[in-house]
Amino acid sequence: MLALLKKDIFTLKRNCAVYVGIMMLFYIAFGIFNDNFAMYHFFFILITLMLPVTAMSFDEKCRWDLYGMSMPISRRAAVLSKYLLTGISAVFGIFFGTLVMAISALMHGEPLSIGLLAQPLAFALFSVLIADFALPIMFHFGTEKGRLAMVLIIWGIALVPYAAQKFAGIDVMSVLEGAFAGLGFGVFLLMLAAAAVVATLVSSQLSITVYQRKELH
Amino acid sequence: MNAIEIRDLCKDYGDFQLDHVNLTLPEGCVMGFIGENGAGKSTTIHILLDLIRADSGEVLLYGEPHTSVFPALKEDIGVVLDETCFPETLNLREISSIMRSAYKNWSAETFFGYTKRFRLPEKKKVKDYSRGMKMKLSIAVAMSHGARLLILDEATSGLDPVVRDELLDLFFEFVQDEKHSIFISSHITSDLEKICDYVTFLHHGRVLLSEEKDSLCERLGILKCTREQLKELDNQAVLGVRESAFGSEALVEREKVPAGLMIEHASLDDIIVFLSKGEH
Amino acid sequence: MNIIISNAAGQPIYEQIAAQLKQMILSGELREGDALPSMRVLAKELRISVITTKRAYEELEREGFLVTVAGKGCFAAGMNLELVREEHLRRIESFFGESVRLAKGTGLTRAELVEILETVCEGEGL
Repeated sequence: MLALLKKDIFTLKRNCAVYVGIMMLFYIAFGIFNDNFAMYHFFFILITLMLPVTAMSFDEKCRWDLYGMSMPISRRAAVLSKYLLTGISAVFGIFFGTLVMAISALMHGEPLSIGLLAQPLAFALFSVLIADFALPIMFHFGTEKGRLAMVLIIWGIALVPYAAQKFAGIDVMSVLEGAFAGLGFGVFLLMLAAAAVVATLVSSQLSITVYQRKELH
Repeated sequence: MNAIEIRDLCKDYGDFQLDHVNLTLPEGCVMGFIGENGAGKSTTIHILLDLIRADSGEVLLYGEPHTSVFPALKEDIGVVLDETCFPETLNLREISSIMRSAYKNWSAETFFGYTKRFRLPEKKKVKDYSRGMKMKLSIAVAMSHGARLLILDEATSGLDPVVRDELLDLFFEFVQDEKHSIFISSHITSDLEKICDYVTFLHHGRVLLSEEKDSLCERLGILKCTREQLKELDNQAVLGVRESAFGSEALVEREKVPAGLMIEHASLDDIIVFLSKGEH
Repeated sequence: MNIIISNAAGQPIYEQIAAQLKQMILSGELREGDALPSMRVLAKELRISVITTKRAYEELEREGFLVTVAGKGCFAAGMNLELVREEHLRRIESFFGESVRLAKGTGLTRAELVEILETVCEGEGL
C-alpha cells in the first residue's frame, strides 16, 4: 500500500503542486480580505476529491493497473491506498484551513479558539462523504464516469435547495438551520463525522468487492 | 518442480477464445511463447498473473494454484508487459523508492547497476525516454527484486536488433542460476530461437505445439520439391505448404519423408508461418 | 578452448558440440581431469539452449568421455585406447553411411561407390 501511495504522491506532486499552490494563495487572500473562508474550504473539498480521481485517471492513462497488480500488492490494498490518499488530503485540508483561519483571526485581533477547527472540519468531512460516494463508481466504471458522478452530485446538492426554493417555496437552508439549531454546531459535526465513518466503511468495502471482481486489461 | 503449469485453460471472449491451453515450464528453463498478434498470448499471461480470471482450467505456479499463492509469490516474479506502465512524470529515483516499498527484496544497488549498464538517464522523467529505454527500465525493475521467474510479454517488440541482443545477454545471465526460469512471449522468433529451451505455439487461442525447441527443430524440416513429388508424400508428413510458380515448399516431419529428398533446417519463423498456413 | 557451431550444417548442434569436445579429449587438448565449462555457461557463451548442451554432455558421459562430479562439475575422462578405437570406428561407419546415402541420391551403383573408395585409398596410401 505504501508503494502505491508513494507513486500517487510522486505523480500528483509534480502535476498539482503549482496549480494548487497558486489557487490556495488566491483563496487565502480572498478569505482574508472578505473574512469569509467558505470559498477556501470549498476549494479544499474539490482538491480532496480531485486527488484520488486525478491519481486514478493517471493510472488509467498509462494502464498502471495492469502492472500494479502484477506486483505483490493485494487488490484490497490497492483500493485502500486511494481511500488513504483521500483521508490524507482531508487532514491536510483541516490543518491548513485551521491555520489560515487562525492567521486571519490573529490579524483581526480575534482570539484563537477551538471553534476555528469547526468550519474546516465540516467541509473536510463533507468532502470525504462525497468521495465515499464517487470512489466505488470510479473503481467500477472508470474515472470518466466517476468524475461525471461527482459533478452530478455537487450539482444536485446545489440544485436541490434552488429547486425547493423555486417550486415549493421552501428555503432548505433555513429548514436545516432550524432542525439543527437546537442541537448546536458541535452535535452537527459529530453526526457528520459519524456519517463519514460509516460511509467510508461501506464505500471502501464496496470498492474492494468491485475491484476484486474487475478484469484488468 | 515446474515453474509454470497451465492445464486446460479456457476463456471465452465471444469472437475469440482460449481453447484448452496446456503448457509446462520446468524450473531452470526458458520457454518461448510464440504466435501471431492476437493469438491469445497476452490473455494467457494476464490470466497467469491473475489480472483476468479464466472460465475454466488451472494455473499452477511451483506446484500451487496461482490464486492461492498470490500476492505473496509475486515477490518472486519479475514482470515486463508490452507497454511500460510507469507514470510519465516519475524519474529513476522515485521508481526505486516506490519499488522498495513494494518488494521485500528490492535492491536499489542492483537496479541502478542495470540502469547504468543500460545508460538510462537518471535525472530525466519516464516520458522523455525512448521506447527502447522504457523497455530496458521495465526489465531493470523486473530483475532487481530477487525474482526467480521472469514473465515477459512482447518485451522485445519494437526494439532494434542491437538492444534485443543486449537483452538476450541479460536473459542468459539470468538463467545461469538453475533455479531461475523465463517465460517470454514474442512474435520475434529470431530472439527466442537462441535462448529457448521449450517452445509453445499459440494459434487462434489453441496450442498447436509445445515441446523442447531442439527436438522440434530436429523433427521438422523444410522440404523443397516439385508439386508432383509433394503429392506422393504421406499426408501425415506434411504440416503446411507454400506453392510457387516453380515448385513447392512444405513443412514436413523428417522421419515420414523418404530418404534422398532435400530437407532444410526449419526456423521457428518457418514453423509458425507454415503451421498457420496449414490450418487453413 | 574453441567450440564453433553452425546452424547451417545438417548436423544437430548437440552433436557438433559433442564431436568437437570428443576431438579435444582424443587429441589430448583436454587432458584427464580438466574441467569442462558448465552446461549453463556453455549455453550462454554459445547462445543456445541449455538443453542442447546438456544433451551433448550426456552423450559424452554415456560414451565415457567425461565424468560428472556432483557439486563440482564435469571433467574430461582418462583416455582409454579401446574407447578411442571404438570412437574412430564409429566415425568411419558414420562417414560411410553419409557417403552411401549421397550415392543413392545421386544414383550411383555399389560398384561405382567401391571404385571411388579404392581410388581414395590409393591416394591416401591405405
